[in-house]
Amino acid sequence: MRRILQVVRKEFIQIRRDKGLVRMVLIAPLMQLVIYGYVVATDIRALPMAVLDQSDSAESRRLVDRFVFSGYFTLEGHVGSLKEAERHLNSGRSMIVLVIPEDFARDVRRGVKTQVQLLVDGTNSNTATIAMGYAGGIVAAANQEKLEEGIHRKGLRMIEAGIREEPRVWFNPSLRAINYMIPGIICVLLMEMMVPLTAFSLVRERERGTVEQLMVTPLRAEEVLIGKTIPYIAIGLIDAILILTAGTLWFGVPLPHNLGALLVCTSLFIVVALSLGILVATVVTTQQQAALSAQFALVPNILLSGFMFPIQSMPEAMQWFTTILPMRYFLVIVRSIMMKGLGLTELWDQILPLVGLGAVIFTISWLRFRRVFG
Amino acid sequence: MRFSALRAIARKEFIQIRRDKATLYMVAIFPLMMLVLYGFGIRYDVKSVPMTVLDQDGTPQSRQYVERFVHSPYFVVRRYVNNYRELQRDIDRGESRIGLVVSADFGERLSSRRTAEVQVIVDGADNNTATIAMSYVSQITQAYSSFVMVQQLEALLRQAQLTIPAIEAEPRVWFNPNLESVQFIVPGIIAIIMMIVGTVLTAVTIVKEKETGTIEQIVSSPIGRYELMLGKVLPYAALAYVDFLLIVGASYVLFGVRIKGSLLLLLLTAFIYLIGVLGLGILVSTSTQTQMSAMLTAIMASMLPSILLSGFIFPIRQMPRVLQAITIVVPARYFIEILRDIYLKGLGLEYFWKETLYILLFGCAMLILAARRFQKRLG
Repeated sequence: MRRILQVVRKEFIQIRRDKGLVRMVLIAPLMQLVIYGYVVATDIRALPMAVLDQSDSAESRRLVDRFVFSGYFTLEGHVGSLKEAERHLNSGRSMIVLVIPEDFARDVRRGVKTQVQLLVDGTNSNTATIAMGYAGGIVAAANQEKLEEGIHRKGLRMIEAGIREEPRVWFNPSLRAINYMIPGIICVLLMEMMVPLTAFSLVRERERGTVEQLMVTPLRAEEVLIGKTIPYIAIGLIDAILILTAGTLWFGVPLPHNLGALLVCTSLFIVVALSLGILVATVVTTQQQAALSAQFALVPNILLSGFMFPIQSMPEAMQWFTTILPMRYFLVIVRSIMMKGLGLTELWDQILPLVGLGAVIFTISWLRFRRVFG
Repeated sequence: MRFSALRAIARKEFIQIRRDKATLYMVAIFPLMMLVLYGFGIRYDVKSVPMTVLDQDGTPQSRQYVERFVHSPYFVVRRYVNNYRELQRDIDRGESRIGLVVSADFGERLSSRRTAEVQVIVDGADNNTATIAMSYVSQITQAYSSFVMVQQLEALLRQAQLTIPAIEAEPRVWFNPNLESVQFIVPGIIAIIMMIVGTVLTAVTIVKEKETGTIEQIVSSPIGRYELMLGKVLPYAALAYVDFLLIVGASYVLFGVRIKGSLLLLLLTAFIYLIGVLGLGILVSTSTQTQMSAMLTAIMASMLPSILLSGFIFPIRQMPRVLQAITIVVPARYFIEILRDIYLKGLGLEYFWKETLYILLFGCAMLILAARRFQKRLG
């Protein structure tokens, strides 16, 4: 026990001496919170649009107004020709051009079918799809109004039959994006800090040759391991608490009732991430390699865990692959505790696979660690 | 500047890299992994949202209505339940994201031309999926609603001599007609991978000399600091450039992503971007003492902004003003814009000379700053 404490002390002194590291441990969580909170958590609105109005009539202006007042589009300007429209799309000044044909007003007045064209910049496939959805909705609403108008003009009454839906949003009634982001940021940050930090702190001993000095001391392998990882568990917990506090004070995200459960699961996840770091450390020999291989562990976890992109939309094969990512389970756990107020007993079906995965990773890394550092 | 000294340092670094097979493999595999993950794995669209249905009515109309959800690609009906409690349990446990409750008088009200009601319970935790799923529910409901209406209206319309819809919108998608996300992702991956290899690896390798103490041996040699700086960086410049070519090749072979514009311009602008990337790496190395903090700083200063603040996935125009202002100094933002112009739009330099000028200026500024701060001394 005393020997473990000595290793912990040595590691803490090394961390404290590294000013750049201390700075990063404090700044990184806040920087991520701000960036993710403000960038990822935004809706797509105010898409820049240009209009090529060849009809130039009251009818066509009404359609344009509908686009502008929807809030989904902002009018960048009118263009006089297709050539100019092309320039708008090429330069990225507008991402959608509405082309209204010459005989638009005549057709509308006659009640004949007429066509408007939407030229969409498909570069960003995601935004383009959403923009087309918005445009479709606006045109449909215009048609609906036209139909009702016609029926009224003929002195008939509209039939009111139809279905009314009553949406009820649970867990996040205001649909605030940041409420959903904060739990995710905790997961990403822990993964991003814990894996490389442990890997580096172990590989450093190897690269500098100080591992031989550790070997000749009476310290046993498990004492080295525990002693070297305790400071990083502390750093992980501090960072998690930092995000929770900043999220509550700055973004007004409600604190979970089950703070205890959150802490227990967070500690569990930190141990899993540390094991992953230890595993990396036993595979590589230099810190540079550790930097790269940590990215290998990180990127799939961040992209495929459901943090940014919903798992159920992925292809089947990828969905299967996500079941071996520890972050996938931790993400569900943190979100459920923070947003749904669930406790440990309701989350056993997520905690169990996390513990299982952790046990497998830990066993492999422990076996390798004993061979390499023992 | 003495070229023999520069060559000697570059050679030493090349030998070290060549010996380090693991790094070489990783530098080659990493971009491929990113490409495959982004190309195959990630879908931005929301599909197959799991759903639980509580049909309290059970008439042909209500079944017809629910059937529309079953056949929609947007939803997967996980379960039909008999009471509210079971539905609540499904949503609580996250087994379903949407609960659809069809009230008991649904069919009867529709037949008697009154408004029928359904309740939609949404798991709002993931606000994005929730919003999109809700709009899908509305679309399906409206479509069914107007289907019922039109049936009842037909007589009325004939009487009024009206035709139903008036305006049709015909979308034409330019630059990426099939709306493939790979097309849009490749430029971003190029910019990010070059950052990782160019900045993170460069910073770590320079700090390594400080940390392991080999800088003392170089200090005592007649090599000047500029030769040392450039010599250490050159091999990584080569690695980053090879990675860039690898992505261009692999995205064509694996995903059929073609370059519409000029290949020469692509090669040239990537080279200009590389200068800034390496300069940033050197700069990070001058302000950190250990490889650990060099790596973390490099990730925070280069990778994160390149992924999140460059318009790679999240459009810059949608960000809050303050963050939009920050993106002005992110070089990846301009490089990605150039790449998209060349790759997807097939445009020439007249459309992106400003961006090119900017990354050139950024590169020069980084190099000058780095050269001024880079010192060949101990500690």
